[in-house]
Amino acid sequence: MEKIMQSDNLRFSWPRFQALMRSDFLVNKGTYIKLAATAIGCFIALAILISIIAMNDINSFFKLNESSFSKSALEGLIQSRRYSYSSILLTLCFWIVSIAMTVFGSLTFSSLSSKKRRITTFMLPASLSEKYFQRMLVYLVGGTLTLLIGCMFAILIAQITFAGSAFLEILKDWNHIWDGESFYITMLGCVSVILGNAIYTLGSSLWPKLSWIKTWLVVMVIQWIGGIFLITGLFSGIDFAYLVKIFDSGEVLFWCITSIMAIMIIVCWYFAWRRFHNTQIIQRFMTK
Amino acid sequence: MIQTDNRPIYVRLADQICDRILLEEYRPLERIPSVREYAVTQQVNPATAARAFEILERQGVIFNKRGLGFFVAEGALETIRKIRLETLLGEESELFFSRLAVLEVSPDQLKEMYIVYLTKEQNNQ
Amino acid sequence: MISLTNVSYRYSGSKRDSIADFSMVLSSGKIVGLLGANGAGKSTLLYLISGLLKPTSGIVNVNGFNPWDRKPEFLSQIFLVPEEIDVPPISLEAYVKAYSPFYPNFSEESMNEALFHFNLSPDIHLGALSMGQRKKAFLAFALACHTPVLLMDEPTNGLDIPGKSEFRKAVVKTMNDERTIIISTHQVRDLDQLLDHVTIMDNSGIQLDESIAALQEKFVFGLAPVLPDNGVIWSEPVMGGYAYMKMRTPDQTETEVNLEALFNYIYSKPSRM
Repeated sequence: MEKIMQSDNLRFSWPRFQALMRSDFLVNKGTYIKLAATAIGCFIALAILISIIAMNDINSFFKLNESSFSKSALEGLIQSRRYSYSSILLTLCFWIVSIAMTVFGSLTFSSLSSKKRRITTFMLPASLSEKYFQRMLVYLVGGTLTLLIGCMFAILIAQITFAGSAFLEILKDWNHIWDGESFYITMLGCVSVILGNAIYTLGSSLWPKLSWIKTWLVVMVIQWIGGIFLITGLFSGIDFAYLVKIFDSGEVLFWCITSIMAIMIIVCWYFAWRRFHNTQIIQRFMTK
Repeated sequence: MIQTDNRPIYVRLADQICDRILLEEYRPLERIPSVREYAVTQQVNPATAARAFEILERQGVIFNKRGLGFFVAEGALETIRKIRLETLLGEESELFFSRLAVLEVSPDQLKEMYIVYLTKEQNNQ
Repeated sequence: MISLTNVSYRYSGSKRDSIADFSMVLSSGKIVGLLGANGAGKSTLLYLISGLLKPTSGIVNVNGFNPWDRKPEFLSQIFLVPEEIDVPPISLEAYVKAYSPFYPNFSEESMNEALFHFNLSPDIHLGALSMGQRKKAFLAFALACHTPVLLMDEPTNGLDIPGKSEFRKAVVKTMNDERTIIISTHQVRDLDQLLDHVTIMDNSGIQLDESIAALQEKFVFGLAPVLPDNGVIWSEPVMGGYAYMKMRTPDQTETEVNLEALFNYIYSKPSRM
């Protein structure tokens, strides 16, 4: 206890931050376990589902008349089928990750969802920076790690079921995402997932109650408005072909888009911080 | 019921301590509970309890030994009886006497009534 | 010391100030009763003192801190018991382990003592308790933090009769010259013997801000079958006669302050004081 109060005057104090993390886990253990279990459960369920479909499909190959195909041709077919299912699993895992990251984002400021919870949050003797950082650590970092673990489970199950032979076959298949041109697309995917999380985190700070739905609606509206502008642009003759020519290669295009996304992420985090900082215990007259 | 005791808490608390001294719960030169202990058991503000002790100290009913607490003064019993008699014969009797005077009760009638009362009390014991 | 200087607060979306141009100073070592009708702004005042609301204008100073800064050193010196408490469904042991490290004066001994008097055992699970028991557990924790400033919003609500009695004892026990306790309440009878100081608020501001001792000097409160013929500034028929209030002359013996009468008097003449 003495250790914590020695660093009274700092905006960020490591022992106090640790105490903050510990207190959050002690109080919210149940919620976190449920969230993690649900997320990982989704991956396991998905992997089992795909495995069953894949097994049925691949097994049907073995029933083919062996005289119609040479052994190597058959193996080749099975390999490519397995590769397809790996890709499907990877894609679906990616979708789970994207959606889950938005859900985690929308829960980041759930401690502001009711007046009595806001009182507890703001009266706790830690700095606002520590409180903000703690939420980000739990939901962004913790969330990401949980989802990666979920992916590991998915790989493991798929490995056991439809890969058949060598271990880490699936991982090998999945590692293709880092090869050549795929690298940029994969990186873009990762950054967009974090951006999704950041947008919903901002939404959580603005509307702690029913956060996901409200954020989703706002994002939809912005997309429609953006779409309208895009179409208007098309009709008013903006030469998109020219724009594409500016980017000599996919690489430059990639870095531009990634930079813009990174800026958007930081902007979201900044405004979430601002909102958190300025939250008053009663937001509107007469609201609980 | 109009009988409720209207006096400030600190007065009632001082009275209560005096009662206990008269009942010999606290004997002369014995230590009485501290201000704080009294405040807790009686569920009153410590400042109120302190005020009660102040009055009793001023009246000479208790005295303070620095670091050790409050003690019942040597002649506390007599002091308390004297003060209470003064109060009784003072403002407490004003109302009673004024009513007697209105009803034109003579001093002799009053003396007789008191004798009857004392006899009754003796017979009850 | 707690001071408010020309503090105003207006909720967003509201057309008028909830608290307008308030000024008050409270020195430490006092138990203050904050009284007022519903909606008078008592909770608003407590929230402004604890840094949960930012004043629209004016300055709030609590022991040298601006509450809205919400510095950790400030927060560790203040504890708010809200009207609706937030108690997670975990064991009390876990709750104490989670939150006590933030309060340097926290005493496990004090808490266990308070729990004992509230008839609760230390190894309870908060989720398994009734509302009243949860409140008792929370109060036991709050009092055990021994913060220099303790704010309580309707603390006796939901407490049974023995609980109220134990609460009073616990408050007195924790009190000392460096501590300030502000209790906002409607239940004056639960608390009137604890108070050093009374503040009465209504929608237009603080209408009374006095120590009990000063009130005992200024006014006499009485109950009589017939009202005294002169000097009565407020009265109300009660069982057996009238409750009344008069200005006190120096020769009159002091009476105990009847807070309900005082409250009704203030509310009958809003711009009296």
